[in-house]
Amino acid sequence: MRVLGIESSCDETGVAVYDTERGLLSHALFSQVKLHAEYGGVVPELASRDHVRRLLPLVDQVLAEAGLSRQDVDGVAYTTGPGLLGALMVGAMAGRSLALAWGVPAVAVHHMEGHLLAPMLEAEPPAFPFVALLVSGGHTQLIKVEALGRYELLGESLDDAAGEAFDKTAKLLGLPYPGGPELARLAEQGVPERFVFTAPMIDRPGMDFSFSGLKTAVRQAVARLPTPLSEQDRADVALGFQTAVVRALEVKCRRALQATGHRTLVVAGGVSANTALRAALDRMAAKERGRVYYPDLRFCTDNGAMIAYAGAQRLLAGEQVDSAVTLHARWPLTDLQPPGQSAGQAA
Amino acid sequence: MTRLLALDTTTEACSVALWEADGLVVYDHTLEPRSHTRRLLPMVESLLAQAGWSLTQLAGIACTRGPGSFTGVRVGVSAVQGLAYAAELPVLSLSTLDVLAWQGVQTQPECRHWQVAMDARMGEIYCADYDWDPATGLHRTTPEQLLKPDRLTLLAGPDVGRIGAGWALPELAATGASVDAALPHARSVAAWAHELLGRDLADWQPPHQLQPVYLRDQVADRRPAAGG
Ligand SMILES: Nc1ncnc2c1ncn2[C@@H]1O[C@H](COP(=O)(O)OP(=O)(O)O)[C@@H](O)[C@H]1O
Repeated sequence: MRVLGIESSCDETGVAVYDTERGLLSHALFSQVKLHAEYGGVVPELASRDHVRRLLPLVDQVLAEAGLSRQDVDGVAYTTGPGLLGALMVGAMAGRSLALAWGVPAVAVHHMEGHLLAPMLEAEPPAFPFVALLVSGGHTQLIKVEALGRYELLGESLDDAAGEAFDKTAKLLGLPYPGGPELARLAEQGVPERFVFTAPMIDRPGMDFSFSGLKTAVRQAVARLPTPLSEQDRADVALGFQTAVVRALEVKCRRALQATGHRTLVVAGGVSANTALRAALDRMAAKERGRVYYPDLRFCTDNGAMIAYAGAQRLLAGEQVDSAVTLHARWPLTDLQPPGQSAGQAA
Repeated sequence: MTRLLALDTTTEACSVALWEADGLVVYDHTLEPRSHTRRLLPMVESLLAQAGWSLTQLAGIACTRGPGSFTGVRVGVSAVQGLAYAAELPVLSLSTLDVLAWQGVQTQPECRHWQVAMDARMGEIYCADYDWDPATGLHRTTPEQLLKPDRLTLLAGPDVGRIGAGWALPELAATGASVDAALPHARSVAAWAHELLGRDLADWQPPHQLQPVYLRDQVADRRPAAGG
């Protein structure tokens, strides 16, 4: 079964074709990062406008790269939330219309389920059950995953998401938007332990996170430095910040593995691209005699491939949605059900 | 036998029509707020079923590309992009203002000059003026514009028609002009498409060229990217 996947929940237009026998056939992405950079953040109306411009050319491109004609698509998957409603609307309406006109089934995909399953696109995919750490610009969650659609929340951030903390701290250090990856690059030049920030919440039981206090601690440390900040000062602060975040994520992931008895940890979302995080989690898992799975770097941030994959799994299990398109700005992952007729349509 | 699917989602109304050479076949609409994404495609499906048509039998799809509600315009444009791409059909991209002008002409053909005003929110209107002559057809005589209502030049005379929900705004209602505060509908989209086809003026496009026309382009304030 060849499934066309469409992602448009925020500022990336992603389209891909996943074949349930042959794997990922093609994928294409248009990132609007440059468009929003001069506003210092995503402008929802501009994001929606750009999705309308990019979508069909990307569909054309992935079909051509997969060597498929328009009649070769067996199903269409599109993100219906969580995300920016106006942006979701573009991909979902176009996706559902394509399915209607092709006369093939359509399925509505939860954006975070897409992220969560992205490591399944790799040559050596993880097997259920596992613990998933979702770390992106909007989410920091630890989830117990028993099977497709069987998710139990173990812990989450009580305030900022980890990616958001990276972005805000990067801004504080004068890095261009979106600062997460820039901050990580800068941290590579940092002197270890010149700035030591307490890893938030690790001395407390449970698996929740909090990153806003850390942000404040960084701001106070920066305020004590001579201005303008030297390149070395910024790198040292960046490293101190990143080390504290990584430590907090590592400690809670270990707890989650111990609490569930699972040996497999799946890490997904934009922050899973972070090299320091990967190194720390790999070390921790080795000690726990477990293993960590990550998505390919291309599929850490928003993309169409993960939507095509997640949709294909649900379509294979017989799930499909009718042509009434329902979108969800907010949509807890734990509301999802295992694949079934018309799931994903619930309000 | 020219068969058309026509739709409009550019205002709080959402409507779909099927049209054949000799006239309207079936039609449906809803005024339920914020229901366009849920209602549009089921309406398309059920009208096609009622008429016993398949998409591949169509000559093309006509839709309003704006101006109108930003989100509303995108619901229709995205749907038509998808339908037309998959069914390999050409698209007729029509101005909502033109469609409203034609809607006016249909009801009052004796009016030779038309002023169309849509409610653009934020105290503004989308508007354009037209001349109508049965021999030469309907012609837009101004650009499509986004205006404060008090900047609109009112045409005078007994043969001036006024149509659109913009006329219900307080500043324009106060002019006392007789108006039809109608919303656009898909029947008029189909009828206007039919008129353009009849006069050999229809500009069929591939689906990716169907793009919204918003008129209001100032939608965000630029600020320094970082460190500010
Ligand atoms: N190498 C990295 N280190 C830390 N954060 C990163 C890195 N790469 C990306 N990010 C962060 O990931 C987030 C984007 O991830 P994404 O999954 O697209 O999130 P969302 O969809 O929630 O915005 C941003 O906050 C970005 O700063």
